[in-house]
Parts: sequence; structure tokens; C-alpha cells
Amino acid sequence: MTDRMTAPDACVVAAAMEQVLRVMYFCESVYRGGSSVEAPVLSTSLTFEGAVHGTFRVMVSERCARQMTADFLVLESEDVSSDQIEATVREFANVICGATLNLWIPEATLRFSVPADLARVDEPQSSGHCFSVSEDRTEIAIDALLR
Amino acid sequence: MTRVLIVDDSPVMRHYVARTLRMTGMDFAIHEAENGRVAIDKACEIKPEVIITDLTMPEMGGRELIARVHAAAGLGSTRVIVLSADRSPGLSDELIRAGASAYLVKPVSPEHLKASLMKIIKVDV
Repeated sequence: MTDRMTAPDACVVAAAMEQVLRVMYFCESVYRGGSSVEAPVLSTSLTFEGAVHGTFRVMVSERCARQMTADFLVLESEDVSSDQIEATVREFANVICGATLNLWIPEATLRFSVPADLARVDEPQSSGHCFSVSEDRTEIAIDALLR
Repeated sequence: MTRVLIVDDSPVMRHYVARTLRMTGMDFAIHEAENGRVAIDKACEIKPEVIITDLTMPEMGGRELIARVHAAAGLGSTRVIVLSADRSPGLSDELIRAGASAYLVKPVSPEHLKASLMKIIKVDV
């Protein structure tokens, strides 16, 4: 199946993001297309195997990750710990990966790895599918890279 | 008081589920475990009415936990709700056949989780 497929398009990733953020993180997103996530950036990835194989990458600005964690746990953002941010971003990666791939190829049975430990980068990171969740900041990006 | 055991390797998901249960206003005794192995030991001790479990966890996942719960003495009335991001076709049916009472796909809203739990423990919402 991999040979004839391209990665999920903008409609798929935008719909998945809208669903996940609204239901579990109580916020809305605006699709920005190809852009750069503002620094500092926290990133993780997980692999998927089955009908298609590849890597799903998630990048979130540190500011947005803190706010998502606070919203998810119903805490004040200044009370959120780095461990809670790490766990929240990895959980978000797990859920957005499942939602995106299911919208893309709903008939496929896929196995996902556990999201990797977070990496922190101090420069903006470019991606083909970026989102804003507040004001005009570009703060989340997701990419499915097929093997 | 209804005893609920929340099983997930993600501490923030355990927090999310526990908070959702507390928001129902009902009287739950909430216990937590980080994987199926820890959960089965705790379940034998506290005899929960409901276990809410993730599917993929280190050491022991949700599938094996369901089997162990149904094989364990004293847990015959314990109901298991599976909560996972895995949307593979047929997975829900497979888990229900294995003994799960419900399968909820993430993202799951607090309202959906609450309604499913109330249905399982037969409380009107």
C-alpha cells in the first residue's frame, strides 16, 4: 500500500487536529500550512507499522505545550511541571497520530510505537502542516513521513 | 462508594480520567496503576467495580489485563473499560469478545467517558 500512497493531506491533518484539540484540550486551531513552529520547540515522534509504515512527528512550542498541559490537567500554567509537560505532549502525539492515520486510511490496521522522549530545540522548526492555537503564533506542527 | 481502578502508563491520562470521574459529583474511590501487572495486584486487593485501562502499556497491556481479571478469583463482577488511541478495524469487537465492557477511542471527551461509565455501573445521567 505504501508505494501508491502519499502522506496525509492538509484536509486530513486539519480535521484530526481540530477534533483532538477540541475534545481533549478544550481549544481550537487554525491551519497555517507550511511554516515554522516558534522556538523553543519540543518534539517527539512515534512509528507506525501495518498497512503503511512510517514515522509520525509532532512539534509544539514550549509556550503552547505548557498551556496545553494546564488546560488538560485544569491547572494554572505556572503550576505545571516539566514532567507533566513531557507526559502531555507525548499523550497528545499518541492521540493525534491515531486520529490522523484513521482519517487518512480508516480501513487500515496499524500498530504504533510509544512516543519518544521529548527533544528541545532552541530554533524555530519548519514543517509542512503547522497550526496556530492562540493569536497569530505558529505553535504546533504534525507530519507523517512514509517509509 | 464505587471503586474505580485507572490503569495507564501516562500519569497525565490517569489525572485526566480521575478528574473526569470527580467532576461527575458521584462518590468514587479512585485508585491508579501504571500498567497491567501492577493493576492486577491492586485489583485483587481492592476488588474494583470498574477498571478503566489503556491498551498499550509496558510490562502488561490491556488485553492481558482483561484476561487476568476474568481469570482471577473475586473479580467476577469487575467490569473493564478500554481507553485507547488505536482505531484499528475490528479492535472494538475483539476486545468486547475478550471480555471488555466498552471500548472508547481517544480523543474522548469528559462527557463521553462519564456517560460510558454511568452506563456500565447502571446509573442514570
